[in-house]
Amino acid sequence: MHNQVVLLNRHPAERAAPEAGAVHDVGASAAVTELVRRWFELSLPERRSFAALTRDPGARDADSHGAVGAVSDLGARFQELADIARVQCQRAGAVVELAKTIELDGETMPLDQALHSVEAVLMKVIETILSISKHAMRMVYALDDVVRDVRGAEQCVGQIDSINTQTRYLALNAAIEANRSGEAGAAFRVIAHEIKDLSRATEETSRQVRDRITSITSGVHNGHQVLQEIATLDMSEHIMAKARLDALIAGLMAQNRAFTAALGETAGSAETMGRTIDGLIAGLRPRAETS
Amino acid sequence: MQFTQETIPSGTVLSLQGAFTFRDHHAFRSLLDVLKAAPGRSRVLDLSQLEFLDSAALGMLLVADEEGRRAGWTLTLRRPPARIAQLLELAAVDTLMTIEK
Repeated sequence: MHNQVVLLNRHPAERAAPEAGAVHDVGASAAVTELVRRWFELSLPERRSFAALTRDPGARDADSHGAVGAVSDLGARFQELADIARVQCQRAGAVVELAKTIELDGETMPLDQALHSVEAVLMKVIETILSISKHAMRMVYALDDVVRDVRGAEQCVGQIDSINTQTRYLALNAAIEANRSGEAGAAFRVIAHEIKDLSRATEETSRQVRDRITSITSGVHNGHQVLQEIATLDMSEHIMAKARLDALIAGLMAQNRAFTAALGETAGSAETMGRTIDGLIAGLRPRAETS
Repeated sequence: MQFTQETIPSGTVLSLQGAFTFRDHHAFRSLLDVLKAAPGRSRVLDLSQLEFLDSAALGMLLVADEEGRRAGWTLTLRRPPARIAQLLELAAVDTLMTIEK
């Protein structure tokens, strides 16, 4: 019995293959199988070259020139690919460098340094919020003390008014008694009159002090209200916002690291591709030369 | 905000309850007077029953801390609830006074 090896799905380039579809006996079939396997492992230019070599000398010369031309063209295209891969590699490298930095006020700053400076600014803002809160409360307590002292001064003025009223009554009584005493009370009349004048002066001064105290009280009250408006502005939410901003900064930095790593890999792949293509070109050259 | 006072061998503990905001500045002044008058060198504010703390309240805590530094006593904030603890941490209050969790 004869085993048959039939080549199916033949490549178009197999058209010139030496008797690839022939029938052989059993002893030769293994060798043929091996040959066929090797044939399928060959690249298109290699098959073309092989086909050209196995033809008759006349046809071989003509095909040889065609194969050399095809290999040379392929080499040129590979060279072009290698150049593109190198440019791609350089561009990816440039993007990696760009991703690591940021332009700020005409200066290039590493991105992580820029994000840390944002964090430092936020911390400064929080410190300012705390400082404002503390000083506002100190002011509130100081104004509370002023209000308390002014109230004390108002009470003192009230006491002065009370004493002055008594003094006025005393002067009035002294004047009545002086009149009753006739000539003998003349001196007392003068003193009573003087006391009455002093009482009026004291009353006037007391009124002025009370007016000023009222003015101070009003000013302190207004200041207290303004301060209260400032102090009641709750900025705790702004402080809490730092937690979200911290997370955002951390996310941005992680994303940048991943982005840089991916670009680095892209640059590496482009470089590997370039080297592989260079190897292919080097592999094609001897064939082109020997064909 | 209300507060209760407890004196223990190691010092004075004041427990704060409710929301602590600017509206409580008079109450906090009374608390500050208690802190000033307390014996020993250690004062503790127990915040575990505190529900809310605004920035004015943070300012009041800093005023109390400043008073303590001047007078030679230390102020410790004890067991703040999670959100208040986070606020204290973000405001870096933990770098100024001790916070016991």
